[in-house]
Amino acid sequence: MTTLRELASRPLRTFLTVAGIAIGILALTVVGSLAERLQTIVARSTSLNTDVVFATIQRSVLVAPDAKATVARAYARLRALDGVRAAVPEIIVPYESDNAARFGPPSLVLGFPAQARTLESSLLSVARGRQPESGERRVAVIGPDFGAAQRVELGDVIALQGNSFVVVGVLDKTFTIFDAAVIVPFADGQDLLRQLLPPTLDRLPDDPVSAFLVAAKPGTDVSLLARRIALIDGLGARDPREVAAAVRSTLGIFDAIVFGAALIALLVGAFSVVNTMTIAVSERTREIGIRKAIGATDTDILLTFVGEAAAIGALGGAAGIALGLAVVAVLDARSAAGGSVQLFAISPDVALGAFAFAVVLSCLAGLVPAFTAARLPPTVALRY
Amino acid sequence: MTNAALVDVRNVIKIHAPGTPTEVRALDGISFAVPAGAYVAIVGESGSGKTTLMHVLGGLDRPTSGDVVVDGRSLAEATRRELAVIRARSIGFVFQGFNLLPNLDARENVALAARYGGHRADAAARAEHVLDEVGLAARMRHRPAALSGGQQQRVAIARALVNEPAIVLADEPTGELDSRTAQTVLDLLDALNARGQTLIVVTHSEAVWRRARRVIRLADGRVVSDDAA
Repeated sequence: MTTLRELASRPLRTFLTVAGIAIGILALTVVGSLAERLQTIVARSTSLNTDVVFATIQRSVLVAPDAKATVARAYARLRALDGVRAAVPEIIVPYESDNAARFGPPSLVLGFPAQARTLESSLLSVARGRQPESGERRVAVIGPDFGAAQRVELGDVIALQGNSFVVVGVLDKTFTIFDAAVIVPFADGQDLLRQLLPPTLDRLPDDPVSAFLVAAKPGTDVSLLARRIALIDGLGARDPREVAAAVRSTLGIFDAIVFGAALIALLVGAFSVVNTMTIAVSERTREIGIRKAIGATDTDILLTFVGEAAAIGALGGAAGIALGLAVVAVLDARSAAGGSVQLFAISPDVALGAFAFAVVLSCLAGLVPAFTAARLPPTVALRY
Repeated sequence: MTNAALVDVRNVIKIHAPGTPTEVRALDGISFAVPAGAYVAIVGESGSGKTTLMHVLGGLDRPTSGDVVVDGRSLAEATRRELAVIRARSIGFVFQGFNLLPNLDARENVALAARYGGHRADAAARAEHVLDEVGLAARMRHRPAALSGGQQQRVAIARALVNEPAIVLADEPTGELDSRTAQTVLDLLDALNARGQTLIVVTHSEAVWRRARRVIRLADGRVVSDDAA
């Protein structure tokens, strides 16, 4: 209480110093929560796709005169590959949204045949409602973020390229692109794919697909399998581990840059703590002399000033986290309104870590002026 | 040191800024002893060395040579921490300008000294008790700015007494008070001495030193007289 009263006796200076720390912590909280969410997305995507390879059909094949034969040959070779447990065709088309402003990856409409659900049970399990029944048409299962962004509920009707679809299920949250996706029956996906291309380019085979979902047999080297799929004429595939490693590497660089920027902001705040505490020691030199005269040890004086620096850090940390939560909430709300996945995750670790960092950094910043105060000879201090 | 001496000052020399052009020999071989229960006034003209002597007696400054023994403990040999503990537990200071902390109320000012003296658990209770003794029971929650000069000095006296020190050192305790308020404060000091508190008062005011039972007069850093009043 005494410490806070000391700080309150110089309200403007305290406010400005606390604001300096708060801005740094705000930056740290926002980028920390962004990094946390990205790490979660990458980790979940990686863990959910350990035995799956996405084999995409090259765009040039789809518009070539012999597209149907090429795709059929590729599909046959794919299924015959050693290590392939199953390969099912899938459709991937972009979801056309009215919202121009958006954060994160685009929403997709995915068409899967029924057997895909057994291959991707962890990604395609429904939290509410049901899966499409065999042969059922014009029904959709939506990701939770898509539902929130488009304000679509179970039982609602949505329009996909002018076609009406009834929402029969909502997927579990997986922190992957499926959260913002719409899953439709395979045949409906094919119709949507055909509609996307202009009539002049409509060379799609009768039974078009965008890609194949390939599930590996247990114990199969998925990296090797991806490389072998890429050798099939008309198909492309990337090693999922390579992709994950590349994403992690990019994420690491991103983390270093944004955390570096946030740390610089926080260091500026720390210098303001040094400045404030140096002025405080200078102004309160006589008080230091009085305290020493009545028995304060060097440690008592040191703790008095470090305590005030810690209080500045705690106030700045709390304010910064509160502001960070507000900023993250606003950005996430905008992100959701744009139909994208949420980009921020404030975990207790991020909040407590930022708070502890603010307090420790302020203590360190206050240490030098506090040490100067502690070493002041009492007779010198009393002369002020 | 005599067996009965509570404070033993042994040939204390204090030189400020030694070896520089501004070197000052503030104390030049001071020796005297103060028994428990004494009421001693140290008097002298400005620049005679009174304040330096008080700082040395109170462990705020170290002598260049010689020693001061307070309550059996050598101040010359004490570490910085030991000096702080001696100041907290064995010595109570009363300053001319009161020297209360402006952001603390009367009780907190006194309790702070109690905490430094090792009475963390009952600091507030001790503070209330001594403030009551100096007649400030009704002013405990007042900050210094809300108290008169006399009341502030009584808070300072309560602060000096809260750890039941061996000696109370007062530096011009009435220097900033009007004569009527000064009488009240001096009456309080008399009462403290009457119940056995050892007092050493540094002053140039005759009204103050006439209350003492022994007067040590300094000139140019030396004791020029040491008389019973």
